[in-house]
Amino acid sequence: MKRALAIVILTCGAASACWFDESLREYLDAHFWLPFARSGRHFEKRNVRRVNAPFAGMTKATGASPLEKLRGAYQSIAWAEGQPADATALKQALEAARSDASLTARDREEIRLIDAKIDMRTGDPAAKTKIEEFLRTARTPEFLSEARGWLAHIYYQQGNQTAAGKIYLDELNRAGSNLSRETLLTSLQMTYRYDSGKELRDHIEEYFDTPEHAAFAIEISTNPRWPREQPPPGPTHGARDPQVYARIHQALQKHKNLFATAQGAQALALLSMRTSLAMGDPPGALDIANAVRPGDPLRAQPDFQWMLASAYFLSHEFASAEKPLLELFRSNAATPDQNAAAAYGLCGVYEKAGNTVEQLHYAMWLRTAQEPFEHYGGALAQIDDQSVYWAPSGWDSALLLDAEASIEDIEKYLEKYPNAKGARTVKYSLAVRLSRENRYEEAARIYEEIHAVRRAPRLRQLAKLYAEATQSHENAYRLAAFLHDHENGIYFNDALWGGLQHYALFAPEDSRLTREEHDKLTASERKLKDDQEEYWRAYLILRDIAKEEGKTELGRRAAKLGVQCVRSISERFGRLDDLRRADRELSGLLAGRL
Amino acid sequence: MDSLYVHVGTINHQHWRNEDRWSAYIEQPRDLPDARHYWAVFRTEEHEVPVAAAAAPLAEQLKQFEDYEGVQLDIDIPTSQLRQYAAFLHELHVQLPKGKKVSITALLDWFRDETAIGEVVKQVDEFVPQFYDTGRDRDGAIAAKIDAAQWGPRFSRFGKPYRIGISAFGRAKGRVPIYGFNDLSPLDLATDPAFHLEVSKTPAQELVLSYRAIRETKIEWTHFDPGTAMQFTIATADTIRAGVAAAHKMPGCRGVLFFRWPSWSDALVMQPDEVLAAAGVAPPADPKPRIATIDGRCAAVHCIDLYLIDPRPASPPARRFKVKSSTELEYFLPEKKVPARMTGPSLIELALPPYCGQRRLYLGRGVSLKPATYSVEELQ
Repeated sequence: MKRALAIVILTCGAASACWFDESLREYLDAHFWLPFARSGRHFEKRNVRRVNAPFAGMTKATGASPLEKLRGAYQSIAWAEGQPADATALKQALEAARSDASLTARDREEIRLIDAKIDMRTGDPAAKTKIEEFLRTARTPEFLSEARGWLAHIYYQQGNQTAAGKIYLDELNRAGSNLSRETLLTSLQMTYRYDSGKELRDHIEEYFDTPEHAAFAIEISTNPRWPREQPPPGPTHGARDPQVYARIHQALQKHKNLFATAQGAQALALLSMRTSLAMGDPPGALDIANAVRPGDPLRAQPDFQWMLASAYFLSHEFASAEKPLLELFRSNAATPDQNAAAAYGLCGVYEKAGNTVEQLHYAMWLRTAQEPFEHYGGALAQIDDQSVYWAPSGWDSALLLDAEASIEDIEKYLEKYPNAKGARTVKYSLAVRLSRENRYEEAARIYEEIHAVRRAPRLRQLAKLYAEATQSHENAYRLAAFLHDHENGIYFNDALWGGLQHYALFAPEDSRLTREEHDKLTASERKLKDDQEEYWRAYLILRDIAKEEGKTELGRRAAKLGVQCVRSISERFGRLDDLRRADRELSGLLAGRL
Repeated sequence: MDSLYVHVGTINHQHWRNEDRWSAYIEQPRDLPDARHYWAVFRTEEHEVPVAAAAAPLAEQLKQFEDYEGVQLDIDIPTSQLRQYAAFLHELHVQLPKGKKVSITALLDWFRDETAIGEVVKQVDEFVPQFYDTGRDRDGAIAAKIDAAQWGPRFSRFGKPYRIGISAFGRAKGRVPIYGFNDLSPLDLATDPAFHLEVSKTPAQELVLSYRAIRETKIEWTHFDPGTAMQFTIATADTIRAGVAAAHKMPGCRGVLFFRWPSWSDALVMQPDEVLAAAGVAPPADPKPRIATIDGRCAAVHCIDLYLIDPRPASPPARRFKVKSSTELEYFLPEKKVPARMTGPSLIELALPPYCGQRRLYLGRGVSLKPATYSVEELQ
């Protein structure tokens, strides 16, 4: 008996859902600094002259000539995708057209191409040979262009990505191509999807026949990925293999001659930097960048500026990343996505430098900038790959305004950028921060200035109650009762969070920080949670009244309202043990046990 | 590895406007481990026999698995429907490309006297009786004890190749629903002093850990009242050894099929190398624990996820480990419920309660300013 062992693999579909964006301090993540994503449109030359001639057999067939009849027969199968064709009728129409003695050379080429296309549509493998033969011998440019497109289509269907992709790419930039730009970009997208996966990486050397093919293959295969799930330890399954990048590096060195022109040398430098960064070798990218002389036009290219900044930041030379990021942010050649990437990167640079005013400036720019919509569909369908540059959650600016920036920082920002977009939000936030410091008059003035019609009179009233609170326990009770009645209306910043603040406060679990930053941010988040809770602050006042009043009617009222406050506090406050203790203490006072 | 049976798809049955529709969907896993043969497994949760019309869509989907040996159907139909199942399998054979084989999993109940199992077996190239989840499970048992003398003759009478299906998986069972994103593991309960542990074994040598709440407590979003019990059943090397030994005694038995391959987060499923070592076809694993790391890809610090790779997971005594870093750590963020903490600038200590080891246990993330390497030592 032959005995053997087998194991069943059970795959579990992991449901994943994206409920809301959770970008926060993304510049602390190495993935953020990966080179920009590329798709077919990035490899398109400007002003390529195209033609728009009918494909073979697709001219309107109205006459009775054999060629017209053949066109009609062909169109019947061209429009009936997947339906069985009448092979005999097609063959007869072909034969009749071929034997027409009045045909021009162009007509004969059209018939040959129709013949090949009929084979292709009826699944006859002869189609490929016929098209190749046609490409060797035909002369009509628009038919030749069309034939190249069909040959690429056949390669695509056969799974030959390399051959198909090269044809589409060449045709995209070929003067006189009869294939539309949209068709070619869509075909490239279908052939390579986002980063093509394993097949492109397996055949990467085959693209080093022209500089254009090599650049395309390298850039597509190094498109950034944002893994959301941890891979298991050990060899990376199906993910980017560092050996692939090493192979790309070697191939670039081996085929330096492809990039021998001045323009080629620039391309080589950019490709080498891109590969180094994808390999996780920022010092390598810096070496290449440093070899580019000052004033070289390459230094003005957005790609160069971004990769130079990445290499600096990832090498922990944070301050050096500022210059290329500022250049990129101000560059006319940069796309809106690239501007946003630079702005977010600058947030990181200024956080590291402790320059909170500038950090807030760029965070507010991101908060108020109009995010282009294109990457939620279109060629770059991977939302993660570019939307991250826009910090769409708004949590970076919100945390700065609500906790991390000091009141002085916010005031300095408003002094320096009084007319910046979003200045009203910053002023509103300043008023909230002043309220938390019991500076109610100042807060009220700001609210009045920005026409915050609910908060302004509320803060005026609160200022009065606060001033009177020290005069008697009854007044202090009135202050606490006012706070109790205005949950989220005084200390909580309702202009920033859209109901998601709880999820943004994760500094204790954020491992991208140094110890100093970790401790500082954890403390500032805790302080925020304490300071923004009206119920908690009311409780603190009521507890003191209850303790000092003892078993008086006011003491009981204070204890009763204090218990209500403690039991009403939002879950975002945390400190459950403190709340339980507070509840027990006040409940004890009420029951007369204490 | 001889063969991998890969769950690649699901057979669905929909009733829509008085029409019955059967379809087959593919979810093909990537990056399969190496094996000499692969089988494409299709399952259905319907507990009913697909009609003959369902064979065509299934055969169509199977065209994607040219290199596979064939298809295995994992359909737990009632014994009373075996005759219809045989008809479906016949149709499937007709529709399949030439040379493709058909395997089925089989419930033990199908093999009792006077059923139509013979007609079913006639239509397949191989069958795999499942010695787990037999419906007669008591006290947390998943695996059934295999009596070669009782079952061998029942399987071999058909003259068809068969393999014995043995469970290598575990399961959590409790009286309260667990709300949260992760399944509970023994570690979640063992680190909560509100739970008391009792340990027992099933007849098939599986380990059963029963945790009972002795006072009210809460894990994630779930409240546990006093008296609430949670039970974990874990396959052991003894379960595998006993199953394989029984299979060896059965005439005509072609081998053993272990169910199932663990996913990355499975805490209760035996690892393949552990299974194969217990079956006696692979060398025993190195008994020393080690640390595996994954770069957390932080831009401004070095953050590393630390995993304890433990060759002796479900061992009874409490255990302690020291994880050392080659450089001073900024801080260490332990995974929730994992009893690991920093006890020195470059030292993390881990104290595992009894039976709470996992083959791969995520400890947490170490953060340093300089690149760090990690090592582990088990304290005696």
